[in-house]
Amino acid sequence: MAKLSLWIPPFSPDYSGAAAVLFDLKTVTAMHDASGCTGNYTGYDEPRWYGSRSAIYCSGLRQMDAVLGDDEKLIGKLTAAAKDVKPDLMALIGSPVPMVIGADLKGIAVELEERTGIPSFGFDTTGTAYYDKGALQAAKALMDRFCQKQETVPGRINILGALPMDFGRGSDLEHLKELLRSAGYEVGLTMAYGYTLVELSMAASAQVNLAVSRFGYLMARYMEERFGIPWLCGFPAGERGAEDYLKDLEQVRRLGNPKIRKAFPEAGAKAVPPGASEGKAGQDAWVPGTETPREGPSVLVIGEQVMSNSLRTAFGTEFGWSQIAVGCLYGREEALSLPQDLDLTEEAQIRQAVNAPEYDLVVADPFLKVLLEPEAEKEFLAFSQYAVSSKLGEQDSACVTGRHFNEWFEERRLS
Amino acid sequence: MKKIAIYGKGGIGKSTTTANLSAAFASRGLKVMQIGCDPKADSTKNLMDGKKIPTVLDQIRQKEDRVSLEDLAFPGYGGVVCVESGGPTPGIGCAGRGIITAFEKLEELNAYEVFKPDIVLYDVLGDVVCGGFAMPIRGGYADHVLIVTSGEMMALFAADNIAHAIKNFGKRGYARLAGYIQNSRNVENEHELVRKAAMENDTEILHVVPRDRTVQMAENQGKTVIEAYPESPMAACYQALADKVWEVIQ
Repeated sequence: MAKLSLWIPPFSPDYSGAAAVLFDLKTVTAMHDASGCTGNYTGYDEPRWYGSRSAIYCSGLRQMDAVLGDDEKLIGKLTAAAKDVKPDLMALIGSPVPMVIGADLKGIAVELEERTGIPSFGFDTTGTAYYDKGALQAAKALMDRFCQKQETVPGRINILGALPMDFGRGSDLEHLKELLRSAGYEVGLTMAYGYTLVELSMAASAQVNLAVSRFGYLMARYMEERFGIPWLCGFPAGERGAEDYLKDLEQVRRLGNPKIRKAFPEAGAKAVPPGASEGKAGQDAWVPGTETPREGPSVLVIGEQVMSNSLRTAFGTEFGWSQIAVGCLYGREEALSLPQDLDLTEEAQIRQAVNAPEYDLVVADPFLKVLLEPEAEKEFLAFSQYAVSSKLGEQDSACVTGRHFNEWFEERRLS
Repeated sequence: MKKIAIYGKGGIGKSTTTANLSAAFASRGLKVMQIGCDPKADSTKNLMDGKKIPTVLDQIRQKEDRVSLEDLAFPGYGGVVCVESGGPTPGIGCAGRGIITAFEKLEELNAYEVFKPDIVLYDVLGDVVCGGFAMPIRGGYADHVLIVTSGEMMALFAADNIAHAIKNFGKRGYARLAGYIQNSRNVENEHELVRKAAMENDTEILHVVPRDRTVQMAENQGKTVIEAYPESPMAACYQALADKVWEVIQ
């Protein structure tokens, strides 16, 4: 019972991540479930669903289907849907029941493709992992199927790891694209928010991949292995942060070495933000609760690891704050971490972290505020994440690209 | 890497046959991995001096995410890498799902890349009663299926069911039926009965293993015949079976 969540809802699961990756493509997507998972995805995890023409179906799994494992019935339903919709792709997405009965979704997809001639995929998502895992499964399968090694187009940049669970309605992604274009780059694939099969097939022509989430980071590493494309991991939050980000991007483009932005300044760097005392801005050595000399409040940023790292970097570049830890909600990637960072795998750990006396300020989804004890005297800055609070947290959504971060922060601090 | 799933009715001698095949392949210098897919977890016992090894599911239950390959795979006779998937306590849980979980864990830990076996033998419980027990014949696992049967009616009936399951999966490009292994029980007209049953499923008998007390004597010592009586006629028989299996999987 240690993992019981008493106050916060379950975060977006893997089947939603897989479905979100397919959303932009003309896909007949069938969730193999009784309807709860489909409803969860379309109702809470996918802001693009309302008003869209995306074909998300529920297989309508019932007791006898589970007992008898009638694959033929499922194939029949999907074949009928294909006749109506005439999709480019078909996909079967797993949920807890298919996991328990060992449904062979990949095998069913092979049969489906044989009968319809439409490229088909089966994803063994289970509902017991987070969205980034399902998204990665789907993105890799699509990349394997549709993208081949090709000649590099100078200045072409892919954005990897763009999902509604991390970027809500996508304003920050639009700002990022504007930033890249204004710096003279061409935006290639934005996976998975506003992209086409053609863009996907040309993904290996990019000169650099930008990983804007943990899913993006894992995808960037995969594409590096397959196509040798270097990557930059991080998001350009903050006015100065965006300038530094573009410098990093140029460096990755020129030298071809991947780079992770997770702290400010980089270990050994001399950069000092305006107003900060020289030599105090480095974060790598800080241990929460110790008397290390500090700049600004000590902060805990909770959420998706890459965006949380980017907020940490922005607090450093914009305000000179140096004592910042990241709490990872959906898994902690060692390479993206600093020593003070936390892997928050259950509600009890999140509760402990937000109430820990060493932090003055907690930046997290508004749903996590309920975990703050009344006697814990600290500031809480709401920064909503669709994977946690869905549309219920949208009043606290924020754009953080470039100067939008500074504006958001000033506005929230003043209010 | 060649991957073979061995199916057959419960108690027909799958584990004995599989362990002797593993030992025979290992005696030729091949790197062998044997994965027992049965909650009883006794497939590899005779490769481990009669001792049962901890199962994948037991280790996951105890160590959760801290499980490593060393907790799951154990070197047996001739360097055979021994793994037992294990399963729930009889009467509760879901054994089929247990096999899927064990396979997923082995993949997550890159077992095949780490051990780099030349040949993997999956010793699978009884009949293909549900999705979990079909796991070894699904995409990415075994390429070939061998069915162990005697001339007894129930053994032939189970063999027939297994052959049908393999045919059902045929459209998905999965494992193909490589043949029957006749594990003789001295049933009257046994060879003819098994031959006819194999023909009905468009396959053949790869090898006939006679009933011989050497097998029991070796098992009493917790060993395979290959290890305990390497010069015996039964050891030669299992070596001949290994020759035939190697030939058909090429």
